[in-house]
Amino acid sequence: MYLFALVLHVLINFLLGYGILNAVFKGKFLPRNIFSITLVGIFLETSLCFLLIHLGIPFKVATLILIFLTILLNIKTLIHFFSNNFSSFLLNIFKYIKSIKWYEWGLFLLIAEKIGVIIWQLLRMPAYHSDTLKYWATFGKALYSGQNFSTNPEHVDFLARPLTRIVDYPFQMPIYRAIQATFNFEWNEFVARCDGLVFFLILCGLVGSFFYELTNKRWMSLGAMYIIASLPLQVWHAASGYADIAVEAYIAAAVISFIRKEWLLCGLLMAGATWTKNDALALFLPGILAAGFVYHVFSKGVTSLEKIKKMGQFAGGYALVIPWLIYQAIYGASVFKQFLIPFKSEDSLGYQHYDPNDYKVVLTQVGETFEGSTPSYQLFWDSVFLGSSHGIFWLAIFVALLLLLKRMLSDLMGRSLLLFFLIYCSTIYYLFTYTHAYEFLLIQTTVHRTLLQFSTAALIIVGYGMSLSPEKHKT
Amino acid sequence: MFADFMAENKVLKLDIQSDIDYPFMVLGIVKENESLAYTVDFNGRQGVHYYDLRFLDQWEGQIKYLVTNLDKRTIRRSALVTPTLKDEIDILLDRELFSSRVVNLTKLKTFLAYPLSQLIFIFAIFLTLCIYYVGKKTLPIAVFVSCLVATILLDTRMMVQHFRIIQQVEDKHPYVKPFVEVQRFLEEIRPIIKGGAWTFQPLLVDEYLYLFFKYNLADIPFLRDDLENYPKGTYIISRLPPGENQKNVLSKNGFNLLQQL
Repeated sequence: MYLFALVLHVLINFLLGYGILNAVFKGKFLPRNIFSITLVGIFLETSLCFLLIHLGIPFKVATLILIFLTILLNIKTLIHFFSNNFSSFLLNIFKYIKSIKWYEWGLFLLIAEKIGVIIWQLLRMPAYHSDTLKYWATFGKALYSGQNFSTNPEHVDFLARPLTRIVDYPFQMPIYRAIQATFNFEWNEFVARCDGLVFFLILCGLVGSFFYELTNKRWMSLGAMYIIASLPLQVWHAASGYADIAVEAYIAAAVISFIRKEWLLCGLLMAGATWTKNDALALFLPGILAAGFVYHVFSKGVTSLEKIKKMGQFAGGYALVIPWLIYQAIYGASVFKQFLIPFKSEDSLGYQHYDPNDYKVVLTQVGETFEGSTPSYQLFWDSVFLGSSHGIFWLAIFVALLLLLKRMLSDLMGRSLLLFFLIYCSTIYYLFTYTHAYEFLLIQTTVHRTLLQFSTAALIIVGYGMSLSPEKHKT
Repeated sequence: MFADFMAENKVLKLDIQSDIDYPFMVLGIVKENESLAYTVDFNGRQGVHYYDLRFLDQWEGQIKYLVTNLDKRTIRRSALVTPTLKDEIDILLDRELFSSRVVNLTKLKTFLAYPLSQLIFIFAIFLTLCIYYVGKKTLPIAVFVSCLVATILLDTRMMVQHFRIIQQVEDKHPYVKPFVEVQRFLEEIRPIIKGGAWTFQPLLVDEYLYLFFKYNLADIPFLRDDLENYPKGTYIISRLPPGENQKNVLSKNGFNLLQQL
């Protein structure tokens, strides 16, 4: 029953994304975009729900309105699909399964083990991890139950703050869980974290379809899926109730859209990532903006007007999250305030006392130890590259990029992606060296999951580099 | 545990007798200057097992003391030994339990005194060269295939971990550490406080348990825990006995459910 409700919800997400992209943005649907459109659907569903409950509509009624809207937008498509394509769709799946080779089954089984561990956790474990209890699931439970929750800023229960005491996190995941509980007719421990399974499967789908598109080899696409699925933290994050895996999915999809030059979709996916967790705004948006700018400025054979139009498409997609950023700045704490702490005086946050010296970051900034504190580059090397939390993933990514450097520098898209990669790495280094996040690098509490958010996108960038044949980029 | 010895290639052999499953223990190294140079945490395993500190830079030359916080009575025998291959495998299969930290990091796995990922990476480089020069494949294919094989090797170790964790959690199902007492308490108080309002006695519950209570009771009206006076009828979760104008409704596992009169 739980899984059925989840499948139904994901189908509604896909249809909502598909319907709105077609109806409003006149988007052209391609089967390769099925996973990205589902992510857009999740973003649109949760943000529209947020809008409706702020208009005073009860939460469960808002969910029903969204389901009704989805059906309305897709009625013609659904009738057409079930009357003409459904049987051939099933037949194609059957043919596909029959053609799988033994070594592909091997890789598939290795991925299936991960899915099994995730589903086991969802069915047999309660919400357990601290941030899930602190915010992600508690907010959703309060919203679904209607207790301890209000959208009135004057009310004591405004945004469930007496329970969560968090003022800056976005609402996508809690709202999604509350909607899932509505589909499920009750809140339970499965609902509290099941979206992680959805994002895990979307990640596998994104990587698999993209590698297949690049190589036309099924074993490579399954291999890439397996590399991502087997990252040691992935199976725990897919059932922990945290939002990092969701950010990972949105960023991976945005990078794929960037490579495919689907600018509107890229903007929408970056908006979805921002609406999921602040990390997307602070760590990923600067890189994507810079990479997009470089790509458009240096692309040849395109008029300036066309370039502006394409940049406008990205901006148009991203603009959907701007109301939330304004709302966050008015009623919460803007992420920029925290990110710029080193440039500000103490107490600049107002609600949180902060003294940079507490974290011994002053001399760590220039790579020297300070009162026995290990410099951040050494911590990165020891815990990220040589530690067990990512296996050999980051070592392999950096080596692969070095080997592919010449090819990627010879290609405009390759250069743009490298720029995105470098900006992300610089931002991460800045964050964990110059801000109080240094402490989280020192004790390894946040750094690995922050890097997990980028892992799929990093593999996609390497995959793109591999697809550039030495002959191809010369021409 | 040990004083004035040379680290060399030695590992710690412990025979642990304990009523607690996998007691948490810290091993610390004290060097010449008498200060604690480094500590590593382990889950002590019942019976004879090996614990490796060789991957630490500090585990070299003369060591003043090797110390632990593990209760002396739980250690049957201890020795510093040069490990055999069988002992190295025992170290590789060091058990990591399910805890709140699994979302943050995976404990370092070592084999033959080196981080496992480091060894596997060197193997991946060797495999790449073989596939490229002997197998005559393109470099991207060689890199991809060797990374895939290396990932399968590392993942095999993780799969062992998954199944052990499943076993560990299933043993206690539906309860899970460290919430066992809280879960049992919650089962009993939920029907009582449903329809009322609840809060905490400030600062009397561990932060992590506090979050667990909040999540589990998020669908029942919550009153801020920093109020000076609670309204009449409010249920209060506390570790203290009832105060003035309060009555004890239920006591279990060190928690009390009080009600404001």
